Parts: sequence; C-alpha cells; structure tokens
Amino acid sequence: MSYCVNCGVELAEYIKKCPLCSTEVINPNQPYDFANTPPYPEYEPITKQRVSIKTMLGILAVIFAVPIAVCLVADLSDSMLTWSGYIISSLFTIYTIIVSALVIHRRSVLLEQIFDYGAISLLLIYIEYQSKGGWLLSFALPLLGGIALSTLFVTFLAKVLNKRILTVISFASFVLGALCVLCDFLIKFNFYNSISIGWSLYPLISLTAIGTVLIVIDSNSYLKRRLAKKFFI
Amino acid sequence: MKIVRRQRWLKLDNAAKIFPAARTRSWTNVFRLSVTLTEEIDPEILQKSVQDIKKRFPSICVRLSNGMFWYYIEETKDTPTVQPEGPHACMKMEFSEIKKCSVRILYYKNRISVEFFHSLTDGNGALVFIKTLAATYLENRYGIDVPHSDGVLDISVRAKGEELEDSFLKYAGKIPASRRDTDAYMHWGTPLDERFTPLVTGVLDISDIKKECSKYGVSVTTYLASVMAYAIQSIQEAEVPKRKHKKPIKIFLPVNLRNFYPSSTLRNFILFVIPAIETKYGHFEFDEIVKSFHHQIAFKLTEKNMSSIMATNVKDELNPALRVVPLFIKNIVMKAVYNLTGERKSSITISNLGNVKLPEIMDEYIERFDFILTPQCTQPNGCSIISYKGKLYISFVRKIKEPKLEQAFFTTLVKMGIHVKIESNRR
Ligand SMILES: [Zn+2]
Repeated sequence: MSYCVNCGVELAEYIKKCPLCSTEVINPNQPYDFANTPPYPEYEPITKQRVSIKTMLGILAVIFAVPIAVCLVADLSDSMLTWSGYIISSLFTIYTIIVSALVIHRRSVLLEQIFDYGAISLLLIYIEYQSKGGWLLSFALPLLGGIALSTLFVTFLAKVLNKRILTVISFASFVLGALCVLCDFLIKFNFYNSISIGWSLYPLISLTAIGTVLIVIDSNSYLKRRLAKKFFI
Repeated sequence: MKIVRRQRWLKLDNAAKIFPAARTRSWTNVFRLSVTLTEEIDPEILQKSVQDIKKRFPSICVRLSNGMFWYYIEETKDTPTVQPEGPHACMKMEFSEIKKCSVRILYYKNRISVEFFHSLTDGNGALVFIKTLAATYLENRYGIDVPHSDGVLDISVRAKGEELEDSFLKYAGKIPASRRDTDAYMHWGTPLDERFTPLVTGVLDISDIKKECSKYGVSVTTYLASVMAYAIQSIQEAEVPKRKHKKPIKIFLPVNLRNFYPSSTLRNFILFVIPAIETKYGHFEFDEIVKSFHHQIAFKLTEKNMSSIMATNVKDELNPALRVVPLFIKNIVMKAVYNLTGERKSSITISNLGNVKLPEIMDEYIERFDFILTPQCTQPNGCSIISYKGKLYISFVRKIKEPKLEQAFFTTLVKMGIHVKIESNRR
C-alpha cells in the first residue's frame, strides 16, 4: 500500500507514477511488484498501416513512365523531338517534387523546399533555352527567388524556431504583402518598362494590417484562449 | 414452417436525437458500464448469454439507421459479438460501426464491459441491461437461479411496450420553460493528440462520504457536486485571476426522471439540474457551496419544472414544419445550434448512477461495478459515479493532457479527511 507523497491519495498496487501529479512512487518497504496485474489492458498506440516508400516510388515511376513513352513515340513519328521535351521535363519536375515530399520531407522540410525550387528552376532554364524567350534572368528567376526565400523564411519560423501558429501566420502575411510588391514591380519593369509599383499597395496594406492584428491577438493570452475555444475544429 | 420475425424499429427518443448529429472527433457520446466478477470471464459463455438476452432488449441490441427525415434504431439481425477489451476505453464509434451495431460487449480478465452509444439509452437503462447480462452469465456459468428483481429482467418473456416508449413525449408538460442561460467557466489544457482516453478512478468508502454528508445534511450527489465546484473554483482562481473575467461555475447533474414518473422505459429518460456559483462575487468557502447547492437543487428539482423543460425539448420535435426537413439539413442545423447553446452552459457533467442493488444471490459472484462517461461536447472532463458493496467509484475521463481537475477534486476530498484510493488505465 503506497501513498502519493504529493496528493495524499492511496495508489493502486500496479501504479508506478501518481496519475494525478506524475510523482513517482518510491516505497523502500514495498518495491514495485511486476506481478501486479493492472485492471486495464496494456496501452498500445493506434497505428495505421503504411505503404512502404519504395513501393510507392516504384508505382509512381511506372505511372510517369507511361505518358513519357507515349509522348516520345508520338513526337518521334516526324523524326525530330520537338514538343515532347516540354512535357517530359515537366513530368520529371513533378516526379522530383513528389519524391522529395516522400523522401526528404521527413528529414528536413527546408531541404525539401530547396530541392523543389531547384527542380523548378531547372525546368524554367530548360524552357528558356528551348524557347529563347529572354524573360528568365529579369523576371522568372527573381520572382521564383522571392517566393523561395519567403516560404523558406516562414517554414524556418514554424518548424525550426517553433514559433506559435499565430506568429507564423502574421509573418506569412507580411511576407505575402512584400511578395505582391515584388511581383508588381517585376511585371511593370519587364513588360511596361517603368520602375514603379501600383496595385500591390492594396494587398500590402491589408496583409500588413491582418498580420499586425494577429500579432496583437498572439500576445494576449486571454483573448487567444477565448478565440481558440470558440473556433476550435 | 419457419416464422420470419420482423426486425423491430424505433424512433430515437427526444434526448437521443441530438447525439448522432452532434458527434465530433472529441465528443464520442459513448459511455461504459462494467461489472467485475470474482473469476475470469469465459467468452463463449458470455457470447451465449448475450444471445439469450438479445431479444429481451430490442431497444439496446440495435443499429442506427437514417431515414429521410430522422434517424431511427433497428434491432440487429445477428447477436452482437463479444470482443476482448482493448486499451482504449470508450473509443469513438464511427458511423460505419454504429450502423452495424451501436453497442459493444467487451471482456477483460474478470470484467464484462458494455459500451453504449448514448442514443440508445441512459445510464439507468444500461444498468438494467448489464445486470440482466450478468445474471444470465452467472446462470449459464454456475447454474444458479437468479430471481427477477432489483433490475434483473425476466428474459423468457417479450419486451414490454412501456420499456420501449419515449417517456419524454408521454410526460412532457404543456408550458415550455425558457432556455436562456449564461455561459459557464470551463478550464482547459493541452488537447490530447492521440485517441487514448486517460481514465482515473478514485475508490472511496461510502461510509466516509455518508459521514461528511450527514454533517451538512445533504445527499451524496449534492456533496460531491459541491466538492467538484470547490475544486473547479481553485483551478479558476489559479487560471483566471481577474475577477471581471470570471464566469460562473456550473455543475451539470443528470436527473433520472424515472424517480418522478411511473416510467419503466429502457431508453433515455433523463433531464438535469445545474446548480451554480457565481465566482465573480468572490471566493466561496466549501460550506457555502454545499448549502447553496442543496437549496438550488431542491428548488429546481420539482416535477413541474421537469415537465416544463421536457415541453421545451419536445416542442421542436413535434413541429410539423421542422419534421419534414431532410435529415442532412437537420444534422447541420442541430449541430450548429448545439455548438452555440449546448454544453458551454456547464463546467462539467457529473453523472451519479447511485448504489447498485442486485438480487442477493448474485452478490457473492460480483466484486464491483464501474461507470465511465466520456466528456460532453466542449467539456474537458467527464465524471461518473457508481457505488456497490459499500464502495464508491468515481471515474474521470479527460481529453486534455493535464489531470488538473482530477487532482484538485481528489486532493480536496483527502483534505476533508476522506481516504481515496486511485486507479488508472496508465501505470
Ligand atoms: Zn500525486
């Protein structure tokens, strides 16, 4: 017969830790007896059956190989590879993104994103090389870079620094506002030959306002608890 | 010639209607009654006993089905299969499961447990079911003859009509009561990220409690509800120090209406009283709470009050315009209304099934009874009480990580000089 030194309740024989306060039961006169049979079955977590990643990658490779083969055959019928290059390179990009989600994701979310952006920029470079559009260096890459930096920053806040969800969302809206400005600027600069910004001020202002409100809510614990209770899903 | 027996079906009773609609991930609406025998359970004999009593309980061995406008329950063709008890008490019943069989019969070592979806019955109806199951099991196992008294039904006869009736409709008054009420304080913590339900049971001597109760001249339920309010008050004082932010502490006490009306229904027939303390006014001493609760409960717990609350509840159900609304729309509306008005009106539910009485011959084979009630919709804890053979079993189930309330409640009892023994499904 042991009592919890903290709560003063008697504890059933099979208990090692007080269920009320987690204080360990240390009774020198009565060491824990593993022969005690608890009145409830042993705890086991509920696990879901998982398909192994290797099988999944294999199945995906087959799924992607079929359209690639069809395109190659169709495109080769006039003895020159023309349009199929775009399709094949896009499919490769999609495949790499899926693979990175399956394989790299569990190691590091940041690494996964870097990998994905790398794949996308390779695709862009290929399209630029094929179509000779002249928009890669002045438009596509800066924009992609901006998007990449912002998502990496937000992910870093959320996953590495483990900031609270509201902080993350508010920073995300600041970053999104800035992205709008970047996008606006690049469009104007590239296609209208002017160095200015226009429409992007509206999303910038509203997103900044939303972000500020969220930061205020986040810093007020009473308000936050109230909202969490009202809106929990 | 083989006579094909038609499967009996029943409309859900007035209280049961909300449960299928308001099911959520964290609100399972399942409760469990267990009976612990002196010897290990033989699953085959248990299965046979379930088979024997199944036809006697056409409102419990059922599955839930949806009609165009309402849910209904229908007798299952097959006998529910007994299963070994898993580590997760009162797991949520998925719709696919409820639609096959809305009751689970489990065994573990010496214990038989039955988990009911709350639409079928309330704790009192469930108690009749498990008593009859235990009696039949004992008859099959030990060849004893259990008399049909103290809630053990005669399984050789057919179910009686009054056992299947919706007593709410029968006994509801004419004048509906107002539903308006203020929100109650609810403590909160870190939500559990797994579906495990931590269970803590305190075992008390009933004589200890009775002694304390007679000191104040109140019933056991009133006394324990006051201890609960006192414990919640201590949590609130720690978590909400500012007086203007404090909300009243309200205890939701289900009331067995069979004590008021000559009903022998085996379906839901409970209402509630909600004694409360307004902590904005300041700190309440324990004896203040006891006195106040005693009078509040006596004031609210009258037949007239109950019949007017019933009238409110059945009013909408009887409204022809509402009846023809398709079920899926009803579900959405009921869920929304429930989330807005439902259990935010109380801090915790304490369901006390009282002292279990059995035919004398059964007593030597049975050790104890347990009653587990899962937390209501938004509440963090569920608390259920049952007593047998001089012991009181107070079970807490929670859906937050921290056992705040359990600790506050049991240490309050300990400080009052009551010996508490704690059990748990975690070791
Ligand atoms: Zn303790």
